[in-house]
Amino acid sequence: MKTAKFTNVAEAAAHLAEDPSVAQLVKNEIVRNELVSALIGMRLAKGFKQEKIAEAMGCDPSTISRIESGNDRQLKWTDVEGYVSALKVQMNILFDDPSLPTADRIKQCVFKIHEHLESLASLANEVEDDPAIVREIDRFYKQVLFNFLARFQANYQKLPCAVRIPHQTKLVSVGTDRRDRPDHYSPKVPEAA
Amino acid sequence: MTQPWQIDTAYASPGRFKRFAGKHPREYESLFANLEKILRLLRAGNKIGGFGVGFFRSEGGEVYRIGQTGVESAKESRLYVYPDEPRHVMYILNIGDKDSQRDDINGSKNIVGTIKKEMGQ
Repeated sequence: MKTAKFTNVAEAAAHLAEDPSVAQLVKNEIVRNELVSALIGMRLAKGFKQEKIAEAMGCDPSTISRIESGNDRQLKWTDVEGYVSALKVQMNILFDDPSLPTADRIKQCVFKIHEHLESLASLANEVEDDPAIVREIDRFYKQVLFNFLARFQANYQKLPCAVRIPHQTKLVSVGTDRRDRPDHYSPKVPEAA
Repeated sequence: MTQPWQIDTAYASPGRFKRFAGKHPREYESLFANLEKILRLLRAGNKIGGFGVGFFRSEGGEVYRIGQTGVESAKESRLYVYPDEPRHVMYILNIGDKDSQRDDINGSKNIVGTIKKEMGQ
């Protein structure tokens, strides 16, 4: 039996074209289809047919087919807005300016985490009259908190200014260089943003 | 939860794909980008029959064709595949344009027969 198996479409395309440079071109094209791909994925996850989206958008199903057959650069803003609204999904747009000072970008990340935590709390309040669901959410929150802290710790340790105090689980902030840390340094937990 | 899918190119004719990629590079990229879209839907647990996506349609005999999209003044192109859902393998069978589609479809169906025979199905 012949075998030539891939897990990556771009590599398969390059292999068949006998040209390694094709892999990057296909990857670029895949990136140009991310939004369309996400829209189709959400539609199918909700079990909606194109006709249902078209009805909600007040257009012909062929318009939905056209939207799904295009790439991201061909999408009109009104199409995206209508499609997402038909799915009853909220859309968030994240702007990230790499030219901003690092401190500002860190601040934005912290604010974003704060927003997401608030969203979690808001979701819990929506179902507070059902004790079974609230109990499950409570359990879920503990898992989320645990996972968040684990990831926070792992990421925090990657920061150049973070050091781990032996036999302690808390992380401390010690300025910009660990060599600056005085021997009598008293560990403190970083303040919330 | 995502399900892993593999892509098997062993039954495709590399010479044909090489020629097509050389002659119609934008269509070639689009066809494979659309294959990625289909694989994402499969990895998400969607079933082949429930897609309802315009650029992906059955040609019978478990052969499916993926069309190119989003390419201006494109040559109508088709990538023929056989999605083996139980084994999570996407076989790439053939590539061609509208002019050669009858032969391409028949050739693809023969390849599916060969694959099934080899798998003892």
